[in-house]
Amino acid sequence: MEIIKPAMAGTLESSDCQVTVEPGDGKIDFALESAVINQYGNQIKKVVMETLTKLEVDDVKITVIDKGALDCTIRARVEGALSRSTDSFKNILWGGVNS
Amino acid sequence: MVLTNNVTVEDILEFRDKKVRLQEELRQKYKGCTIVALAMNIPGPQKTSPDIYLAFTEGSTALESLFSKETLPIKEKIAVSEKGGYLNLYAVDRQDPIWVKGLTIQLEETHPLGRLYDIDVYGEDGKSISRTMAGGTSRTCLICDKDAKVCGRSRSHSVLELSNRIGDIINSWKNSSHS
Repeated sequence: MEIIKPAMAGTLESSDCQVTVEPGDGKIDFALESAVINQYGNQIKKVVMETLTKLEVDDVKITVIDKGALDCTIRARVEGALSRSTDSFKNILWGGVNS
Repeated sequence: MVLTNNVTVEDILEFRDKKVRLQEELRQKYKGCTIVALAMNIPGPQKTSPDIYLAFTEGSTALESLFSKETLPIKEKIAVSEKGGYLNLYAVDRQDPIWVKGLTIQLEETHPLGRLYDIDVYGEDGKSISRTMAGGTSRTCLICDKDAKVCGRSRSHSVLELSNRIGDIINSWKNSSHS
């Protein structure tokens, strides 16, 4: 799927994360801010990348500000931001990629 | 604690979105006030029960007495009760969020149910004041002594273990306050 416009989902509340996406320049740019980056930075990145792969996104700038979110929350917030950045997301979800 | 009234991740996230939206509304409406939110720290899919509600009501009473004692008039209070959880938002008439945060940390640290209270205080920019900004320390896990954020993500403790711990905290408060 293609990112058409910048979009955001999530909050800066405890146990949540705020995800921002915008059109990329031909690749995935990933930036992460987290209080637990030393312990879980790689795991958070993995969850984000898996979600992008599942939704066939390979051209995006994605920023995650993490406030201690669980994997299920990160997944949902990434999907939420992507759904707001495109017009075709619902069809993709109905295609069965929603975990 | 018996697991009923379970909610989905989407329900929980919608509840958080709503909390931020209401906080924004109050902040726009009451310039010069500090916005305070009281919610419960309940890990897992069950955010509501008669006991959790009882503990939340006690927290509301304790927080409102604290406001009164510190001469912090409440300009508006919004109460939310839905399957995603319980929430009170307050606009209090004082523009000193760091000081207010210090008071709420005291409540979280000293009340018998304080560990279950999640009291957020928002600055003028709408961002919440962290415990460390107000001179406190990060919260530790409900079960062990590790940092709650680190431990929560590791999933070292099962939801059942966490729910049981919450049940124990509420029960010992009920027993001591009714005896």
